[in-house]
Amino acid sequence: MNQPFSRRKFVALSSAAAVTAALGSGCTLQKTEEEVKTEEPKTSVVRFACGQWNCTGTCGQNVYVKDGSITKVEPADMGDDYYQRNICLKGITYAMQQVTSADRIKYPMRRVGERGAGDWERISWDEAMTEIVDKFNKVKEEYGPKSVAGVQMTGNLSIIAYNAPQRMMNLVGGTWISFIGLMSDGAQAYGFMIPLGTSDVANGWDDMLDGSNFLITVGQNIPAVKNGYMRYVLDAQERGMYYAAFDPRFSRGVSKADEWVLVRPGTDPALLLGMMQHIIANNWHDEKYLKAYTNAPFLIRSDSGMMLKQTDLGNTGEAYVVLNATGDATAEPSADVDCTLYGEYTATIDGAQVKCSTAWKLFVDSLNSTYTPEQAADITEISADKIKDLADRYANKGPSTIRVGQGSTRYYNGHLSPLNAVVLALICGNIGTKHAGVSWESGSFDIFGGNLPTGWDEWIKVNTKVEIPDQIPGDVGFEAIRTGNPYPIKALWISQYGIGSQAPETENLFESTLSKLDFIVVSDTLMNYGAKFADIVLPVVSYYECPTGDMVCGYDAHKLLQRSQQVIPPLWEAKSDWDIGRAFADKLGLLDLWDKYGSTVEENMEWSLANNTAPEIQATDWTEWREKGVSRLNMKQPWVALEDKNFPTSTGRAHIYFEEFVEFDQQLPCHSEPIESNRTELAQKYPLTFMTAHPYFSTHGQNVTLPWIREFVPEPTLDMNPIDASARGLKDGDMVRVFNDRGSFKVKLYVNEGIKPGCLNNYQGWWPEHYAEGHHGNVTHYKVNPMQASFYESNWAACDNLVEVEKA
Amino acid sequence: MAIRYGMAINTKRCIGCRTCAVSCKMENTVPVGAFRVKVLNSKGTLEGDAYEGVFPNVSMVFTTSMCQHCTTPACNEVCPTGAAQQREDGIVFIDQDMCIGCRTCESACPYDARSLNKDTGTEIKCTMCMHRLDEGLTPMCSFCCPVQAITIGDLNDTNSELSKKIKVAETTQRLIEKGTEPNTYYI
Repeated sequence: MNQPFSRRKFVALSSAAAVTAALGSGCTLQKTEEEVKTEEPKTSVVRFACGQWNCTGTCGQNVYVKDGSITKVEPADMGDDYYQRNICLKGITYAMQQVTSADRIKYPMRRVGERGAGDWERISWDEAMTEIVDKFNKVKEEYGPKSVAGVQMTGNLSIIAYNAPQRMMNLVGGTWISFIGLMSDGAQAYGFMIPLGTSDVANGWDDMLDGSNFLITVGQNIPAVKNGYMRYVLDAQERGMYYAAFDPRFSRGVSKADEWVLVRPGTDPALLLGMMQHIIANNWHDEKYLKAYTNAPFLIRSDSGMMLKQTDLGNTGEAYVVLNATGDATAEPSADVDCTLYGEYTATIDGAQVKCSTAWKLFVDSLNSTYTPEQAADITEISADKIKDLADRYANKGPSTIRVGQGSTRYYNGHLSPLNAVVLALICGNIGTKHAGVSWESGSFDIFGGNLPTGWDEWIKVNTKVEIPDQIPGDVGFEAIRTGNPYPIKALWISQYGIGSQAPETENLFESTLSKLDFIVVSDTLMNYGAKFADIVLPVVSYYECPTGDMVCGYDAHKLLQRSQQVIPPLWEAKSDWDIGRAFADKLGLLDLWDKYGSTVEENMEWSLANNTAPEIQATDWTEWREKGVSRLNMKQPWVALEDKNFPTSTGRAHIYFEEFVEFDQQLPCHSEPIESNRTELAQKYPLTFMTAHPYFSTHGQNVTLPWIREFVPEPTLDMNPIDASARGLKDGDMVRVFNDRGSFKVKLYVNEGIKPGCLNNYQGWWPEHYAEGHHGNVTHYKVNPMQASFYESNWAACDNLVEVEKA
Repeated sequence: MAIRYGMAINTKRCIGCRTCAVSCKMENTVPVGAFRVKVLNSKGTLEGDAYEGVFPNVSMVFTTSMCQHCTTPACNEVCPTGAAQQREDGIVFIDQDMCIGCRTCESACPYDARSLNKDTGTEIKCTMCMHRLDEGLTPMCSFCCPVQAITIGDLNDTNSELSKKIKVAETTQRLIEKGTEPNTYYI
């Protein structure tokens, strides 16, 4: 069957021969030759890139526009032989229903009633900006320069829109509240950064498709959250790849897997350790790889837990110390010099005798004492035989690849799940190896954002006359708002963040934290729960309305850079994040600074391209890119991350031993029970583990209000196993109260066989408005993890909650 | 040989995302409450997910359900106005100008494939996007399916993608006992 646009037609569509028509400010629409000749004369087709909302998909779209309205969206050619066109229900419903949704914020408005009551008066943009600048100045005078803060989430990942809010706050100084831990994704990145020095580790899906024989997903539900990539898994399975899914829920991903590994929530790290113990006990590990590319042969001092250095032994040089083949201390080996992996050595340091062991010995001894398959079985509730089978398949029936999702990392020590998966891969020589590796949804995004001459800092920190805002983690920021420590924050500008549905401790956050603010600005597209709490609310354009478009860089599968053109003019009085920043700058008298690299998104996009030094970007044919709207980055295909084995860690090697975490007793790969494990004392009172999975029908707080979505997902529901339901006298369809000491909410019960007894799932994304009472965030917590805080930021452990359920 | 359109739906690939249903609504301006394509869960209902079996031996299968474009459709013969018709290439459709919205065909169809469009007062159903097929375009549900689970093509052409898929896979046809001779094959 033909695609609507053959390659030839697609070129015609994009070429200079296409007829263009101006619509709104600087918006260029293109028509096909065919349409001009024969079809409805008023319909135009514009190439657009979807997925600017952090679904990580970034699918190209051909958008049909008639009389300034979107009439249809179709999957666009991706301009690449491998990456196929894709579209999904989220993209379609956004285009067709969210753009014109009744929930859109239409005008700048000022609160006139109580916070959250929804009583507004319409004001002009000029009035709004005047009030914001005046209030910011007043707060700064009273509470100090840092008392004015900004926070954003991932509501728009287009390159300019994403960076605009932070740039805006840099015009006035103050505080910038980072989202890394607050979004509950930090731990996932840490799990890669700790052993590998980078989180940019994703192999292309084509690498799996071409040759992986075993896929493990750890808490990742590919067909729900990455439905466009599921085809690669299905195709690989049809070729013969075996797929095992670690998940306490029978998710869509599990339904396609060959094996459901029904792990107890938050214990994936132990399962991976049990597999490692079995692999090493059977000598299936890759000694050569470990010696050449990891710190496994390095000697560790028993007195300090630190890696032994040549300087400790009175020698010169920065090298670490290993044991040579005969057991004597020597400099770290080159790839062709052998060394001892499992050994001990007594070093003389400053005249004292210090016992040292190789990192490998410490690791293996720890596995043998604590994480045999039988011990791991006790922790995970997966049988020892199954753990051994998984280990055998992983080590001997590969190439084996692992994909780790947030389902396993949203626990208190969630970084241990990807970290242990990486170490499992390392001991089998599987990092930087074809058809193997450990992936998450990172990828080329980092390459784009991180490789300007000084990163985006140069662009963001455009006002050199004020102090650069303090960048603080979410937990520190909320504490500052709540208590005034370490300094008061009294004004907050919230951008691209459905804070009412996507933040921890919802009730506490609004009633005990945000309520303490003197002034709240929310810029958003939809009038959601957080926007209703604002003092000034500003309307933001939908992705289709951004004047002069923006640029979207693909994540893992699409190593593609797409140009998202403006499709329709801004609706009502909505402005783009860029233009909101511009209006703010104008009011501050700093328009010249804001326009330093140009006054439009397009000009700034051009500047960022011209100044990007990454070889992946530099080789792009920009003329072709502007015409077609998509270019493949200059990356080897299929992409195998870290193929050169140059690991950007402190030693230049991949780490299986982490000296920086001795004080937290996490120097070795380990398992740590969830802070609200169902084996803690708290479980006597609250025995059920409460999880908030990503659904297939929404990207975070988007889509959930749309009629076409609600036709098949009418309302939020709580998944509960029949065993738990009958123990509580509950039945399917009951309205129930979910509660713990932090709060409660009411939701309809869905009793089903697809969830492990003792576990509950309530899909994230639903707004407080959609519940009978409260919000699922009320039972979550934002407890600080000092180890993560020492490394980066404490991560919100969104799935690490114990609750009880009763009939409402 | 003349064209005979049919479909193959691969339930092993289907992920139950409902993109087909939503894309159909977009392409054919189907209002809320009416459907030309339904994605049914394991319980055969429209709303939510469903699981078959008892924990932990569970399965989840979705059935994309639309007109089966039967060789002897049960719906057309009951139509009082002659609006319900079939093209020579097998596509079953309703002439929207002739339809009076009496819903007689809706009850005759064993596949629950027809519904009333309250906006137009007429009965609607899957037309296999014949307006697209006639222009050489892929029907919208098939074009938009993220996992390529829907194949539409010529059953009489042994070289069509559809014929090849049906030939190699084990397929079933729904409610074959009704004698409607459906032309939709489930893999």
